[in-house]
Amino acid sequence: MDFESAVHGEGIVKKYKGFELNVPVLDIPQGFATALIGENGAGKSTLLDILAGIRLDYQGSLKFFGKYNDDDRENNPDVKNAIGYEGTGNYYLPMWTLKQGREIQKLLFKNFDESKYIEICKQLAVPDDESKKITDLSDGNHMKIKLAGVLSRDTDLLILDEPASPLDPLMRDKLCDMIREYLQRDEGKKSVLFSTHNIADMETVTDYAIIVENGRIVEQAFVEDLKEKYVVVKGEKVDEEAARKVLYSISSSNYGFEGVCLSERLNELAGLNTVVEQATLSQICVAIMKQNSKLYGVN
Amino acid sequence: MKRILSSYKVFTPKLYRILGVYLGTLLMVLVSLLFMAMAGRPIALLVTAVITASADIFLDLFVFMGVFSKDFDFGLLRNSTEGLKVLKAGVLGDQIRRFLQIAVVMGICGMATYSYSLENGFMTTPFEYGCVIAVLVLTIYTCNTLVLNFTRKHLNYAEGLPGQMLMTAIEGVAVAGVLGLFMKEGGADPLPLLVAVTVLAVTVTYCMVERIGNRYLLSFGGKKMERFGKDNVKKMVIFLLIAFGVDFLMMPVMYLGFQKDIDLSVFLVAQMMYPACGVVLAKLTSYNEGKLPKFSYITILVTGIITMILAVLNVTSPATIDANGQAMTVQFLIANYVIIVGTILLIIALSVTGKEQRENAGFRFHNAGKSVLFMALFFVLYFARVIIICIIGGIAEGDMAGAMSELTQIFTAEGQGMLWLNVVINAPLTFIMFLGEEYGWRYFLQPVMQKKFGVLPGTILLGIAWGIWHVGADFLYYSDGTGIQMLCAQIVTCISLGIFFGYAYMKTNNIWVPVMMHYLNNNLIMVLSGDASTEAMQGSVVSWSDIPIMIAGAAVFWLFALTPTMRGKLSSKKGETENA
Repeated sequence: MDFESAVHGEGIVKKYKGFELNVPVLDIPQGFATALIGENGAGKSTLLDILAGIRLDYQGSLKFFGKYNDDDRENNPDVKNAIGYEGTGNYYLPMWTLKQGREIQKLLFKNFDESKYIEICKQLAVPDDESKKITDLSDGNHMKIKLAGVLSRDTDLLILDEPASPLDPLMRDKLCDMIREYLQRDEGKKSVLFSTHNIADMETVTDYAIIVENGRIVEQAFVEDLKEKYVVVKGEKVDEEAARKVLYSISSSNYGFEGVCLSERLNELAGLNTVVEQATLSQICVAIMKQNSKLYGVN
Repeated sequence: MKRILSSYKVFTPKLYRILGVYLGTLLMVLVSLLFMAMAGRPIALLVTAVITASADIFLDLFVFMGVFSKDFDFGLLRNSTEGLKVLKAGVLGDQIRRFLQIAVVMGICGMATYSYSLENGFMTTPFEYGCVIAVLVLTIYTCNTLVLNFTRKHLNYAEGLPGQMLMTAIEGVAVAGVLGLFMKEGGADPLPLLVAVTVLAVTVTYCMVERIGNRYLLSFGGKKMERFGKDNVKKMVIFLLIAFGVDFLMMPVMYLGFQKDIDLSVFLVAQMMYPACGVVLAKLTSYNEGKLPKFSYITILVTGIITMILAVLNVTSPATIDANGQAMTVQFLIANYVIIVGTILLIIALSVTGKEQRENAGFRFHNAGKSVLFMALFFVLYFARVIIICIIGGIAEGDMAGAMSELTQIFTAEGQGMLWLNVVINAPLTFIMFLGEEYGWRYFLQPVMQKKFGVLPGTILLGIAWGIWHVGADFLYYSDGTGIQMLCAQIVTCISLGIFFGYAYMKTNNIWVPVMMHYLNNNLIMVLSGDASTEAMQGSVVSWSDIPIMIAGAAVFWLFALTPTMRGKLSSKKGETENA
């Protein structure tokens, strides 16, 4: 499927000791929610930091909204302000209260809508008492005010690093709603990029998936396409050995096996007694991750 | 202003804490006023000064801005292009708050002791008294800023307290020294000191704000400034501010001394340290320099600061003593010892520093054979120049035999052996001064100038700048009423020496070569004039007709402008060493 890129990157390389992020080409589709999926340490946060301009010691070139490069992002406030980034770093000073947190955002961001911020905080059930210290908040509440901050700005691209992790299931659902709402606000203009390892929880809101493994992108496509490309195959114990050669990943029990398979290779299973079902995103991701993971070796 | 206020408001905890800090220091003043009732009043001023200094540091705990703490990575600030501005405004606000706090407290105490001080002849005029108070305020502010900055950088806050106590104690001694200067009969003149401490206070404030900005930019992975090419500009600005800015700012102080007819030799010693101090500060505040020899750098910096303070004291409270039949100011004598101690420390520092650090700082002794050869060559050329000038002088005056005998005097006259020995012995004891200049000119500025203007034009422009840098000394020290001629002669000398020094440095890539040459150049004058004292350089009369002769003599150095190295372009290898 053709699409416009909110972010287009070429030859992005960032080396750490014993780890290298290497992304030859990167495209974040405009107008959609993109999930960056991968193991811990796969390079998700590094990639998001690079896109958001939180790390600048990388090689490669970036293009934002089809016209701005990464120097523009640093020098042109319009570009930087159009990107809302929520990261895992030390966001607030230890003694800052909720009120100071709000005020600093007012100072820092020209497009910060204070009334909207208060409204979102209310929706997310952030404690009312503004004299409370931010560091005293629970992880969940901390994430909520970060999200409120980023959502109450008039941005064109949201980059969220693990937004769902500290939230409870109810709030995750709420988060999905908010992302949907954000995308609809200005039809086709706004994009969201978030990283997660909770694929199942965010599946409802994911349009496009990028799977990162060991510093490299191993699969990227729209979720619908992925679901056409991969299917789940179930079968009986007797056929397991024959199916193992074709299936991506396989989990077996006493009664039978279940695995993910490329649709195009389904015909190789002809003759076996199998049932083919549509795969969920998390099944696909797990299969692909297993295939590439260091943990499992060559499966 | 509005930005500073609003930024500061966000960064600091609630207003009552700031008020608390003010009340706290005022409380301290009450204590000292009590003290004043008991003891002599000028002492009370001193006590207040020390108390204010410590109160400022300890009460800082209540309004501490976490941006200074080691573990804060500037989080949210980095998401906005406004981040740096807000941060700097906030830190500047903090500095202003601290300055006001000290000024208010010292002001109140100053008013309380005002009438007493005037009646008892402690100060003569209200203006002078105001100056003393201002000097105290600025001294405390500067010292405190340094103490806080240092502890915030290296320690977390709880660990910092003992260190701060210690440093406050040292600071107390400094403040007491400042006050003591004025207390005695016919005390020091506060005006030059006020100028000096104001400069220091502004510099320190600037550094404080810049440093936090630097850490902010570093948090992006260390490449932000490099990416946008700002780091080299910043380094250059710091270098120029110190090497030339401090140099020019000391001139009014020097002039005050000149008017009072005080010996100004110590200014020349201090002046020689500024360029190196500029480079050291520029390199230390930059981040892509790799490992640096901190011990050596601090030695250079401290030597520079002490000699500068001595230069100021030389004017504010001059005292002359007689050393070996030669009248010199106490400060000049001390400065000489400081230089010797500094040089010895530098030798120790260099010998314990690793190769990598020395390489990064450009202190390594590259190309030893070629280097020694160049030093010898300079020695020969130096005398070639002297001979040429002698001969031309002889021809002009029609007294060739006289000129020749003058020439042989250099080697044969009585006492010359001692002077030659002096030159040899002093070298390992005083070379820090010559490193002080050459580190700035040849190591730091020359590659930049050559890159910007081409090899030869860059070298010549550097010579002109180097000559102009001497302007204060030319008018107030070297010459007697012929400042302009002296300046022109100086520029000619600097361009010619600059060409040869520059050539030697390019050929050897060894900073010690120009350092040694510079040493010889300055010290052989004593041998030439047969006079070991500083008077050899002082108060000479230069006429316009001397300048063409100088140019002719310097031709031996100008010849090197014709070498392929000077005429050519920078090779790529050279370019690499420049960036390093």
